[in-house]
Amino acid sequence: MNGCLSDMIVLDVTNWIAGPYCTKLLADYGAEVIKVEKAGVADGMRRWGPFPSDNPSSEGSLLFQYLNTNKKSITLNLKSVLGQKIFRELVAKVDVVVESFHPGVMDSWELGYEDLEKANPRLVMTSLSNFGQTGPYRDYKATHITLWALSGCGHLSGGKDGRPVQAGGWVCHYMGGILGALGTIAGYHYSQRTGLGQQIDISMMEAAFLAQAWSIATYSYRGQATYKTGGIWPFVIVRCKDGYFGLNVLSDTEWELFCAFIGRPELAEDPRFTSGLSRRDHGDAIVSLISPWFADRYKTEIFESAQEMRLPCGIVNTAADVVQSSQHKARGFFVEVDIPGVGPVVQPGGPFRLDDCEWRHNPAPLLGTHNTDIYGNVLGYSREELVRLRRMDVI
Amino acid sequence: MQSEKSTPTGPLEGIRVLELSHILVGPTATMLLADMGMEVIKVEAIQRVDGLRGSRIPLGEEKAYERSPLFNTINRNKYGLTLNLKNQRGVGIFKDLVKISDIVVSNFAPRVMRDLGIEYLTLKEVNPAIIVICASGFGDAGPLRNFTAYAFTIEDMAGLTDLTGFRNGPAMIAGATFGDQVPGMYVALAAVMAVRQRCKTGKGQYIDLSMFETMSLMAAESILEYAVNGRILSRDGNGHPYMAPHGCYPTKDEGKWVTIAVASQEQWKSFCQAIEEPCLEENERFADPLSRWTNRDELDRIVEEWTVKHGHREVMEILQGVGVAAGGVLDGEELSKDIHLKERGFLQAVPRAYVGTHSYPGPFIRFSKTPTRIRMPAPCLGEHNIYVLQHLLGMSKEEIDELAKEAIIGNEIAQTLQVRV
Repeated sequence: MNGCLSDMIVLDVTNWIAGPYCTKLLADYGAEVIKVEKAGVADGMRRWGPFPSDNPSSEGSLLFQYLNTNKKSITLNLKSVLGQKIFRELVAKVDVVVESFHPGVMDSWELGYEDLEKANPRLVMTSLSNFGQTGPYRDYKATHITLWALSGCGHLSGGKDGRPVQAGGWVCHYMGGILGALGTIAGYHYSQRTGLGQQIDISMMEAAFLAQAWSIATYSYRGQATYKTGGIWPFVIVRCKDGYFGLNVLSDTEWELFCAFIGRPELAEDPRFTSGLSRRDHGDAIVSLISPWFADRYKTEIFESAQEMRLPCGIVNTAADVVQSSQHKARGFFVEVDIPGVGPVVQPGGPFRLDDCEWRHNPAPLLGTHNTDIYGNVLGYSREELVRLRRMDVI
Repeated sequence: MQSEKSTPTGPLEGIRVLELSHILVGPTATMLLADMGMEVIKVEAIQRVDGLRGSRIPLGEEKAYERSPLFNTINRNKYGLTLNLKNQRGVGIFKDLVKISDIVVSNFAPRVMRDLGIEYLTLKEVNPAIIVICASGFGDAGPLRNFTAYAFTIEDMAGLTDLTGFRNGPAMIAGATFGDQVPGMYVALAAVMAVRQRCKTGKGQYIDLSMFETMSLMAAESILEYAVNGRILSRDGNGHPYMAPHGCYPTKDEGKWVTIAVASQEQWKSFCQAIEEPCLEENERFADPLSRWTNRDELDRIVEEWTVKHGHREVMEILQGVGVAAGGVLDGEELSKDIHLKERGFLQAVPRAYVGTHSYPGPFIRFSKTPTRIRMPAPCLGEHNIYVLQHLLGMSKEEIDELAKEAIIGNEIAQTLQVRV
């Protein structure tokens, strides 16, 4: 059983999260992904962790392992003219290049799309960057919090004192990666049908923008702002005996249901709480009134009985709850990956399963493991030549 | 409807999608597919329109359900069909459409698809190559199988809410609707993968996507930390595992904030000079990255003393000018005027009935040889009934009039819409 992308060969020169996640998605569903790193420097994610038992060994970075499953590894120095030449030789043999360098860097190495197109007219080149290949912010620096702020994701967060708080996890980076995979497969599909490759430009600011895409129209239609959600009714989190519980009581019908659920049907008649807007204005009063009921009960019991009434709600799960989830277990969501030098490690599974399509989870490659395989078998370099290239710091 | 042209609408032109979904998950997925050139037919019923039509609408006005900024943003580039799927004839027409389509995207619960008689096995009989993707809260199996799911409640369940909030403070909802859009992006990804799979095998398939699973992927690092080290990461507000200063700071304008992230020793030097505090560079408490991180609370207070004297765009310009990552927290108004987005052509002016001309964002992926754009505004209710029924299915005008009489199709809403804030 092959993966659905088993006919795709990808040259991957990305680092950190967004780019590698894009190519992980391709590799996990069958693409041959050749990860290119500079010997001695390598993908910084190899140094990030988390590390088993907090032992920062060279191959133990768990996030690197997770983001780079199934890939092959070669070393190559793209700053050297000979390295750039070898890269072009590789480009002629692959379908896709995915890169996440700062815009202009690949061009400066004569590895921009116009250069690579000459080596391979069918090539799909996916370029992932913070702000895109064009525009006034093109050369701006960004980390996750910068993207979160500039994409509009930030302004919806924050509590009553107004200070926004960054979304947890690296969600904006992952969004860039998912769109990267989506665009790459679309471009590949077109190239397979027509023989025409092209460059795909993905800006992480624009990718993250998708999570609040209507903020512009909401403003332009009637001058309205989007709502802040940090602890303001209806988006409140209440404490229960063994953790926290998230409510999502939006409509009037849901409010009535909720009041019945907590045994306070009279609150549905309370003139302060009769509309969505008035409930928002009196949110503090609502929270004071309902908190004791929740504080007295366990989160799972609340969740199950609320769901019987189809009440919109969720348990605020910790990572432990997620890992131990009976739902994830029933669907076989977690997988075990045997990492050389570390042992078996639990990782999240794929976003979906396809019929008759293998979803793979082999460990990430050791640095340079596939140098002889790729340079030797694919490009025809002899072992002696490879040793010489290594000494010259080209590979 | 598809006019003759030499440049395609996108790399995925020629693929037809039927959309049976409401609110955000399914509609975001099909928006991404439509933006790339697929022909997406959004199927609603006049008795049950897409609930997103009730979002932020001026209730008193004529055809208020055509005036939702959310609906009109997410449903552009789609054709609008109405079809009452609780009616046998409606289901029959849906199956006729399945015969000539490639993909069905649904975020109706799988149990609803079964109740309507349009679950995958039935559709497969009609068209063996049909790809059906159902996105639901928890998937079609497991103890939580029929549980309700919304963007924020799924973020709660997936462990993301627990990671968001100030240090030593309570968990907080992240704000943007990651819990809907992220699963929607994965649905689009599943669609193109299934298309590639079909190119190899000639066969369609059924994909059962769980919002809970896809959102859990966003919390991967915290899951790995717990699974391997038994440790639960605590919330760190606007901090960072090793960078300092790193945070979200107030500015001279109320309600305007700016983020700053100093990533290296070199950037620290530039930062101190840019804020005109060269003595800060000499201060031993902040001399190296580890000291800065250890003393970051004190450092944040010093940074705030500077940021409160300036506007957020000003801070951004000063610091980006010296190579430090700074970004204002922009709201809808600012985003609609942002020079970068404008010059990128990311804000496209699109006229639409009932609301006039406004700018909408996207497309979100750019293709150099098959450029894409917003070709059509979000459809009015049943706007393309004639195109679909007459041009695609070859029905006669009489048949179509009959359907309208029986309220199987229509252009006017026949329900009371729940208004959502």
